[in-house]
Amino acid sequence: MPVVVFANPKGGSSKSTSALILAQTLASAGASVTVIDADPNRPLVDWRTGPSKSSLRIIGDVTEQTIIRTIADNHTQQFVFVDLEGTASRLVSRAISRADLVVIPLQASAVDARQASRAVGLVQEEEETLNRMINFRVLVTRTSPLIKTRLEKEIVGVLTKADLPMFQTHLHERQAYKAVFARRLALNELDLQSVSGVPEAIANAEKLAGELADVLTPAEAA
Amino acid sequence: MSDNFGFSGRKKLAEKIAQIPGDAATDDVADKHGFVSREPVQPFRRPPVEPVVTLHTRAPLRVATPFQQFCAENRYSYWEGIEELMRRAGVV
Repeated sequence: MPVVVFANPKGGSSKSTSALILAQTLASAGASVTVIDADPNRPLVDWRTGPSKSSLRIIGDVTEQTIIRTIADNHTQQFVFVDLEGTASRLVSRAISRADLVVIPLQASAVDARQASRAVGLVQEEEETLNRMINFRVLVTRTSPLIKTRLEKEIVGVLTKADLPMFQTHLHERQAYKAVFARRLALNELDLQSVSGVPEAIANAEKLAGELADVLTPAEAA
Repeated sequence: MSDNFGFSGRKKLAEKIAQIPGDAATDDVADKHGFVSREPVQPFRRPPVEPVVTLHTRAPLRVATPFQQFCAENRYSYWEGIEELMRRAGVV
């Protein structure tokens, strides 16, 4: 049961979008996936109230007192994702302490990058305290599939120079990702006539999910 | 004296367990990085250990409303509100 935690103290860095899109993609490939929605705005709990037939299981209403037990209670699932609140809280640090992989989504902006570096610092020190390796990867989100902006290149350059592990695949800016939340459907359930770029979004999500599986596989095999 | 019953082994296990960092260690790291508790703490209200009596009263709205507001703002139960007002008035 790999536990994948999505953390960045900055709100709006696409934690929920990344978690939901990746979880849906794994679920549609036949995996059993539970997502713990630890965001007080409950975006994923709200998504689950829609008509989607996805097998994805969403759990809400967790607190810093219950997060560790909730993660442990779902050990029979193939994947447990934790979508965290966009704030620096004890709930975030406790979830990270149980993570096999911490995904740190960030938009190519200076504010996101600064806040993401706080999450990286916390992960690295928790590693030392717990005396176990906590894998993490930075995920650049909301990028254009066509154009790389100068700022994006600059931020990716800084991350590369700092030797921070990153997903090679970015989560692109796609209308289909927004439609998933608006219609409360899975990506592959969206109407191709009314939402643009669905096949491209699915291809992007599958590539990212494949990379996630690759990151998790060696850790699981070890 | 040799231990044939495994008690010393248990001690070693206890020592090993003591070395495993618990959530408190993680919380200390979190605090250091500004990842603090954001959840409200429920105040512990000590139950009265003195004799009590139940009071029912019909009060005019002009009295009841500000009294309820006073209690809500100061997080008093009604008896605590009455006690505080009496204390301020020099009654008790």
